[in-house]
Amino acid sequence: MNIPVKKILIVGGGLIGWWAAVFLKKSVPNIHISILNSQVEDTYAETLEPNFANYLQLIGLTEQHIIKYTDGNFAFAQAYFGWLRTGNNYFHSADGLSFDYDAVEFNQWILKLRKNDPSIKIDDYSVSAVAARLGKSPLRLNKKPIAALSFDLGLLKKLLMSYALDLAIDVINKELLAVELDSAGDIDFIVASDASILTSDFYIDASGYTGDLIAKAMGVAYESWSAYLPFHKKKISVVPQQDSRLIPFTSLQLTQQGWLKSIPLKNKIVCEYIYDDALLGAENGKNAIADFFVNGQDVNFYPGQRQKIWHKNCLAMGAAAITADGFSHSPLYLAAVTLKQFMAYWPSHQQFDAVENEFNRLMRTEYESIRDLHCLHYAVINMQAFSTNTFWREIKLPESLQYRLDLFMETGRALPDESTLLHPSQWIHLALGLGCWPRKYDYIASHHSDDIYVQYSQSIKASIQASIENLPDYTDYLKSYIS
Amino acid sequence: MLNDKTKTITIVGGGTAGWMAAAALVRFFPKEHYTVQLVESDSIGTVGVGEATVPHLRYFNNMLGIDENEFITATQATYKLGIQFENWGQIGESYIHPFGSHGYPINEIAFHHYWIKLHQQKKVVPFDQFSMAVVAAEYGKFNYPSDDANSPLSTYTYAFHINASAYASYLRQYSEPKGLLRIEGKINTVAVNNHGEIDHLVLESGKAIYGDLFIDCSGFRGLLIEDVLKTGYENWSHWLLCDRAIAMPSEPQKNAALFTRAIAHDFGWQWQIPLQHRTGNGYVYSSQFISDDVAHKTLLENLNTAPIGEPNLLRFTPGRRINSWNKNCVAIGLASGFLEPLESTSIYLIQIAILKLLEFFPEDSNTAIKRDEFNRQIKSEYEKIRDFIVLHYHLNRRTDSDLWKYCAQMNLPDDLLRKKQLFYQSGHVEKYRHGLFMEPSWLAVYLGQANPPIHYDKRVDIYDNGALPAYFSRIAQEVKNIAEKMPVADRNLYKMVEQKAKKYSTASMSLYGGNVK
Repeated sequence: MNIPVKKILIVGGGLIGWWAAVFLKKSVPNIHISILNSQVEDTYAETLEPNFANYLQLIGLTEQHIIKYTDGNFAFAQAYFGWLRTGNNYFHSADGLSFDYDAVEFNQWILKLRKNDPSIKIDDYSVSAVAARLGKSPLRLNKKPIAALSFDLGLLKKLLMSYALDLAIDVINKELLAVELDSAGDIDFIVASDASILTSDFYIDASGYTGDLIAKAMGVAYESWSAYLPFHKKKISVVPQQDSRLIPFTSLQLTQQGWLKSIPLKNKIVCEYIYDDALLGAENGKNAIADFFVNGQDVNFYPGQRQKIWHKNCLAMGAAAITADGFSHSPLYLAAVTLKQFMAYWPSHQQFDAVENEFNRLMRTEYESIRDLHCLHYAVINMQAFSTNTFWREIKLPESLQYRLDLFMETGRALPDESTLLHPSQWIHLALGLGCWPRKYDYIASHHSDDIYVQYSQSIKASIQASIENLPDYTDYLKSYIS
Repeated sequence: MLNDKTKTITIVGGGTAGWMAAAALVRFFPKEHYTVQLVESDSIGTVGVGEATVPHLRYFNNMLGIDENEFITATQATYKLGIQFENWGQIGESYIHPFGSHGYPINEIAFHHYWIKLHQQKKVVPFDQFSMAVVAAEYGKFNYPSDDANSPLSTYTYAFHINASAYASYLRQYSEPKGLLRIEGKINTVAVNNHGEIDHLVLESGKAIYGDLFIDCSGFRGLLIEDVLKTGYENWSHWLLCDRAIAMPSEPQKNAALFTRAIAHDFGWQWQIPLQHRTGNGYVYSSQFISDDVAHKTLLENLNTAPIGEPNLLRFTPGRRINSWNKNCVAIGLASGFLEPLESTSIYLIQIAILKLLEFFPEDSNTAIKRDEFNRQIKSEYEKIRDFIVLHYHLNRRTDSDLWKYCAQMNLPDDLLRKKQLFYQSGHVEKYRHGLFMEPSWLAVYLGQANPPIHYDKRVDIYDNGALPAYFSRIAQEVKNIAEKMPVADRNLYKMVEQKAKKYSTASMSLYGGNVK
């Protein structure tokens, strides 16, 4: 029957499950949403992409809510420490850096300038990055840049759960016992831990990596990315934020055995250490980082994607659908994007292959482009050839990334791809920031002499300096922001 | 990095493609480092038969620093808001494919999903009546689009009908003062070096013409890319049966229409392109089904102004050069492929090849990846346009000739089949970000000439509270009201243009104007 699905059951009571419940119900109010609030292991904190405010808005939340109620904190940049051969750090921001000079794109004239001046740093041209370094708030600027938001996962989940009451979402506080398929392979019903039977028109699998519905019951395989993203262990520690100054950026520190991510919130700092088991084991005991995490929580994760995230009457979200390494595009962000796209292909009782295939094709394109962005972080380590650790050299590059990189190194251009989650300029700025400098630039850049570019470059930096000077201290800014 | 020595770029052929390439190269390549030269012969005619264009040409002109009013006067151009397709669904039916979008999303759901539902209930006017460009074009009214995203005038853009030969002359006048070296002469032989690259051309006069890079704008034949380099050609005539065209100018229309007409006949279709001083006409047909004489007769019978010139017969093979860039030769224009002018894409394909060449210009010997990427992108442009043109033929509901029956039943290219299935199973248009024709165009054709799908976004049913028909007639009325208030596009308009008394709006690389990405 070609009538729309009006009843959806979400399985999994983690943040993603709750997000799905609230988002669906807020977007399409006259449908019936229930959530099996089974236990799902969540991490502690995430940082949302700068444009996430649009998604928050759709469920009636603002950035201010996140800051206030989820121990939230702005991140104007992501700082990379130890990632560059030069020993410099890099502050990656979402600023567009659209400083074209007479039809010569910013990244092209920068390449020309850098030929004679290797000290050029791309983050000097980003007002957000400069503000983040100095602990100031660029949100007071007339032309306000967009900022990422870090939040406490548990607190955001609580906030969403409090919405559920008002929204008449049916909350079932039980665990999942079994899943029954019908003869066509669709989910017929599920059995909860008290042996009660739950049925629905459509199911969302937010049960985590195990994929209790999509994988265990329906048998949709998982495609591992371990050849490209080889880490599968992390340690997590939460420490109190003791400094009186708040930190307005997230950071990634490269080490010999992996990398350390830190997400500063208002009252605490969440540290994740993504590491290689064998390497860390060998050096255990004499490693300061290992010591720091000695009481940390151990988490396993498996980078990869579900071969089909929409299969018959089931959609996989969160770790049931995709896991990457945590450089960008957090799990909640990816889940929110997936759900919004899914809603545009709203299922009916009559199933259509072409619709399912198109949705899966689109999401695969997005996911693989995110995967490639993550892999870029490892590729630059090898390209700069500064790590003595052979471990990095064994990491493979996806063919698609290899092509992107080759093209970039020869032309300074980003491959025009079909992904919507990543603007080409963001890709370029990250690559340049992480020390991946193309050998060539456009002939158009050679229209002007270096002097002209030097002048232009100085005027940009001067205007950034001028605007930064008048900015408030970030800690003071945030105090007044939430009061 | 640039070498000290200057490089020479040699363009072969002085049609629209050759002169567009020449103009762009002299605009962006400093004389101190590059010599740009163009070889053409006054004794070889070009195919330029009055061209319908797409809005991207405005961007190209803007890039060259050409004043739009001056351009309009120089090429006897008229404004164009879309293409009217007649007899494509059934004989007697007609719709306009506009340079603009239709309606606007409601509850974050695309407009056409609601339209499909209302259409099933027979409670809505035709889809194209929700497009500002269509309604204005039908009224013969024209106004520049607005840059203000909140204005209904931001939902469309415009292109031109131009005299392509006049455009080529205009670009010659533009290029020569900027250092373009024009060489008159016919090419006798082409010499190849021991890497198999083009080394030099020898003219009939015996003069040798060298170059580091050769741009083949020699037309269908592909003098360098095919005759010399044997690059190979992919033939698409199993999807596009028309292989000939007969062209003939006629008297101008009293007031030039704001749209190109594409009128389907028994064994092909007829174009009608209104310029200021004449009307361009032609019949594109399949020689499998009718003779040239019959085609000529059909065209004459269907002219609506008196003929003012001799017929010009063109033969072609629809398809694409397998690599537009091979060794040190880049083919642009008809030398790189042929698609019939049903969607006015010929000049667009020239323009996109030029822009890509500027992006991936070979500075040194290490060009493999640039060439591969150039070829990949050009291939994708041609294939996407091909699929869109094939769709027009495929979605006919005519049974009056074997051509139309064949097209309705033919096996489609895989990508197109997938797109069509998705549309008929869900009302969704497959999304892609790179290519000329996006959702509004696909919808114009799907909903303009074929049976609409049964299915649409299912959330429409969830939201539908019975108020939609009234709401939709209000929107259609609003579009009409705005269009009616626009100025009439008559001869006075072009007089004002001639006096440069018009302030035109910003150009962009979009087929639909500001609102559609």
